Amino acid sequence: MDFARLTAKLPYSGWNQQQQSAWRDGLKTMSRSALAIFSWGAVTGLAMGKSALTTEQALGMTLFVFAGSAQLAALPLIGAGFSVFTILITAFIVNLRFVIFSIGVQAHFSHLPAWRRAILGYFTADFGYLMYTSRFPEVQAVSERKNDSYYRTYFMYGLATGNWGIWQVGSILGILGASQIPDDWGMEFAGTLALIAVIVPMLDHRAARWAAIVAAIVAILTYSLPLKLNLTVAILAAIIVGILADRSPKAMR
Amino acid sequence: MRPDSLGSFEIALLIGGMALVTLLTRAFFVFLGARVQVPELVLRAIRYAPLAAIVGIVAPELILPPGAAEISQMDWKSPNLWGGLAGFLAYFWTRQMLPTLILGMTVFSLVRYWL
Repeated sequence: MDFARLTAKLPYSGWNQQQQSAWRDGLKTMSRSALAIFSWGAVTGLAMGKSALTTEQALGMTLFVFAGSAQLAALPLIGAGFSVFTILITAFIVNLRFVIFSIGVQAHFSHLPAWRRAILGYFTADFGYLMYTSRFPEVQAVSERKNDSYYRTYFMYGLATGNWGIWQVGSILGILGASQIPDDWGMEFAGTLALIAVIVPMLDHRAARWAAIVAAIVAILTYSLPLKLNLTVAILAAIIVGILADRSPKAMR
Repeated sequence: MRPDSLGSFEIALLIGGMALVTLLTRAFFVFLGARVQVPELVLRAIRYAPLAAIVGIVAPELILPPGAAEISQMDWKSPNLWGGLAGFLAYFWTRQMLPTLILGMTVFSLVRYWL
């Protein structure tokens, strides 16, 4: 097999030096949270493996749907025999936070053709958007984007590659290992713990700490809402805090 | 298989549909098109949305006992609460993932079996 000819077909080899290093930068940035993504993927995979789905169906779901919280929300509904339409509506509402993220995807990558932006959006889950915006909070002027060979775009491709890849490894191992792991080990708690290590470093300034505290309190108080709507309410509350933090720079920063 | 559960065709349809839902939500404003100009203020306002999303996923799992549906079921003997606190402190001191997982899971398991 001619490896060089094979890899020449990959988009990566058609990118210039700067774009390739941007992609690797993104991949490296994402892999710093590999254990957290892996544990959440594994927990989601375990839940799918223990559900009414067959192994093939669970693998298909993880590979194509790529939305952990929506998958977890769908499982009990599938088990209870709800209609496909009802489960799809549920998935949409559980995914509402991504609609908010898509505002950012649209603005940051407006130079890309719409279909590429849509694909990039599909691969932009919680971790990808979190890491992109913590590295590049401000939208780059369109005129400046070309000057650095669209570094940020290729950085985002790297984030997406890492996020998807690590998530799928965890999730597939979880699905395949589900029959081996007893229910009462409390393994799902490991996924929650791993996220602490993602959150704490982000609380490095006052406005972020306020947003996080408000999001935590609101998400807990509204936990009884159906369809994980507490997440959307918590995000909206954090957005309001963010605006207030912006308005009173001295008091909140 | 129960008569009211989904057949394999319906599951396939569901998986395809959920993949489309992922695309639709994550590219929602892309599909609205370039005519919708996103004001700078909105972009600044949603700066903490991703952080809030992850905090919103984690916080109830840490504070509420497993299987609880609402805040009134909060319990001081909850293994999540103490395991989460241990994990938080472990990360605060070491800034590393592995001690966070090990200490958190140890305290979680201890509380679960002995409290």
